[in-house]
Amino acid sequence: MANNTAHSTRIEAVYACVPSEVAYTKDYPAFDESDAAMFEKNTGIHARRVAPENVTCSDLCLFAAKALLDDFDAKDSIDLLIFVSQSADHFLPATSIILQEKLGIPTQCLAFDVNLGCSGYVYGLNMIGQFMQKGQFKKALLLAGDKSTISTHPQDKSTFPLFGDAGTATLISYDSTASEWFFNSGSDGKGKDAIVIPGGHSRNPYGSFDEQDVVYEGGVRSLKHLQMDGLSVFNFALKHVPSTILSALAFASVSVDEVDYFVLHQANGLITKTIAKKLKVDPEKFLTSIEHFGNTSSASIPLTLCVNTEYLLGNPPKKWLFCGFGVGFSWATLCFESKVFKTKLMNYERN
Amino acid sequence: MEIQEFIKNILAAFDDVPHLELEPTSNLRSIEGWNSMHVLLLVAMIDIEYQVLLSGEELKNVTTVQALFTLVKQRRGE
Repeated sequence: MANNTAHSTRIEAVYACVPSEVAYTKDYPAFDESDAAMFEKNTGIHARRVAPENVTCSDLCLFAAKALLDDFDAKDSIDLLIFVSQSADHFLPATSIILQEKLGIPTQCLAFDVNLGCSGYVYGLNMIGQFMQKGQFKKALLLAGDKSTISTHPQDKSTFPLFGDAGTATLISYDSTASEWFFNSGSDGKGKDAIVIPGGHSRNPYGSFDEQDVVYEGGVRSLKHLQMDGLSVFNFALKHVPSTILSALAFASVSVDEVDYFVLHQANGLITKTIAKKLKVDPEKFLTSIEHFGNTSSASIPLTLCVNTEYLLGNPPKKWLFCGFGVGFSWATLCFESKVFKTKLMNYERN
Repeated sequence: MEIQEFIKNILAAFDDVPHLELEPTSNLRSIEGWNSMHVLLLVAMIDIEYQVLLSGEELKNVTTVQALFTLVKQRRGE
């Protein structure tokens, strides 16, 4: 697995925006009472936020980014914008470029999309670190999130009650005094069928496959919906996540016990708890957001930071470990030390 | 590893199933309310307690507690 570093790069602020519409696990019609209780107990998901039909992931990211850029008076100094999502506005053009214009960021800004899911936030930080460490870029905006509820079938019990919608914005600045960032990352295309939307893109374009719903043991879905093999994903997570975390820590010369807070992708509570047990780490050190927001894909790490603001306050600097993992399969871990960064959690409001 | 301890660990993992009793011959899939979440709970318990990560392929043909116990023992080289 690949190790790499970035230096002179500092997170200034993390903002998150979620839809105001709440969907409770207990109200999911495909569950009976005991299904709902078992699901909530083991996944940890009490509720999720679901964006209305005409609100996209980029709208949620835009809302968070506008507030962040206003608060830091940073709009005119952004020279790098990355949008990490698997629910872009269009097949083309890239959503990042649409967001550059909507945010009023200068046209001299380098902007592009990254098509990654649950590992994407850490990949985004890694890319920004590589661009920024030479001092040629001064301020970057990382927008990460997904509207996963657009691709899950409402009667698919293995996906629909798991995913929530969220968009986030992270402001990153060049800072020659910042502590080094230590990454460990990996990819395994053998997992391509474990989380997949089989139909609707160039491999299987619309018109070339049967769009009819089919009943399977987990409920109902079609080839245009997100399909997930839960056991394969669970196995992948238990196999690769502890190992990428330990590799990143070894690379950073930091012991497991020295980490103040672990912020893992919020896949489901059982995965997080099992990984904590495997690493023999106090579960209290694992910050979570899944209880009220579900699995929010690439937004889950920044959203978790925004939900747990009390842990971000005060000195001395904290040692952080971020780990994203999922669709692909793809995974990435970042170990770093940082002082306070500002966070804000907002409900989406239409302009 | 002992089968009684193995059964105790399964019962602890399935603490949401009321009045569950298991013997080596018990069919796991006959447990009341058996669903995919139980499989994940089993896989997690076996990984933590016995350091064996079982795949879906390996679990496909396992039905009884005894068969699962034997599979885990084999994977541990016992």
